[in-house]
Amino acid sequence: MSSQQRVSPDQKMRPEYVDNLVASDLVDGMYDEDDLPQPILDLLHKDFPLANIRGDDREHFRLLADNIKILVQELFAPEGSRMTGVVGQALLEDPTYDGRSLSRQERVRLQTVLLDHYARSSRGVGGWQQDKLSETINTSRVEDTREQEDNPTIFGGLFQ
Amino acid sequence: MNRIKQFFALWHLKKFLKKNKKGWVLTQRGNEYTVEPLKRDKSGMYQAIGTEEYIEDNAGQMHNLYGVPLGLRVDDQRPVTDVVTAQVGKEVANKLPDGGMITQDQTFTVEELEDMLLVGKFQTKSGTVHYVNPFVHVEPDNIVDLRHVAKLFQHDSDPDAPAKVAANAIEAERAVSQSSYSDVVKYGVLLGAVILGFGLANYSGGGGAGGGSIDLGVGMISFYLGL
Repeated sequence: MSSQQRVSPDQKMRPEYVDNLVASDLVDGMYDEDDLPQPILDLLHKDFPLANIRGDDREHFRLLADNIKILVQELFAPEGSRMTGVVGQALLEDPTYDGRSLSRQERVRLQTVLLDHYARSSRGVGGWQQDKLSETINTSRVEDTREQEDNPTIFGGLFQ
Repeated sequence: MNRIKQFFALWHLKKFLKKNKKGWVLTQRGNEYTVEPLKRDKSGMYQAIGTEEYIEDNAGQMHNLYGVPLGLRVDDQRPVTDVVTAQVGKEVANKLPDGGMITQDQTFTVEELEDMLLVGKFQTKSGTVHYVNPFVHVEPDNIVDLRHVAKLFQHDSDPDAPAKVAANAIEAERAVSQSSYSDVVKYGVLLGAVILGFGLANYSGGGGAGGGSIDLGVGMISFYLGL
């Protein structure tokens, strides 16, 4: 918390600061974005941790996120299907067809993303993440005022 | 089997099938087959009675046996299939999936070509050309393992998925509506506490101890807020 307080207020107002706070290691670190289907990546959007939700809303998110996972899995061909890639294009006579199967590792990743989504959505319960953001900004404003008081002006110095 | 036995066997079979005129599905679960009665839900999808499994017939592969719909399927997929499609799936599954890079002077026998699904890739100046063999030879009267039909599917389709998605959606709505209901109860209790508090305050106020009675009301409100 103290390290956050040392950042100047104008830096805190920058979108990058919020982005850093709500960044997901799942996407930014461990996995390449191209590996995950877009609807699953959407679950890691910063809107979820920055939302002002109740505990019941979080359960709502969890259940619907599970539905998204099921529906995403059905966008892909079953494991071992030959209707993928060039063979799929040829058999369907459709050069634009880009069907593929999810690998087993990707299927596990879907599960880890759901867990991450659930964990991140906990930050939004009662607007906790938003409160933390505003707390750090307010605190730094107080500190800046103190700094100005610590550096006296010419007239201020005369009366000390 | 003599003719009389055959007659009675067919009579029993027809009677059995007509017990459920909506239809039947022969399901392969591993190496076992089960016959399951079907029903139709409001959206027109088939559902195996006694299970949560939904069944699709988008390709029109549900057939008739003595006037009653009968389909074939595997337990981990929704689409109904038939023996020819399943055998095509099996043949496709048995083919070599990728022949690799081929050169200009490379030759193949007909047998080699038949065994390959993707015969090979050939590099040209304008790009890579893929040679695909879309033909399969289906032997009639073969016993077919239906499981290979999934090799022809573009989309995965878990039979339990529609029921699970619907259950999740209902539970999700219930989670939010219960919250709204509990809010109503909370505000109702709060309102009741206020009314009770002021009622007690007025009652006690008549006795001349006004300050103490108001404290009692506020104290009760804070108690209910704590709930």
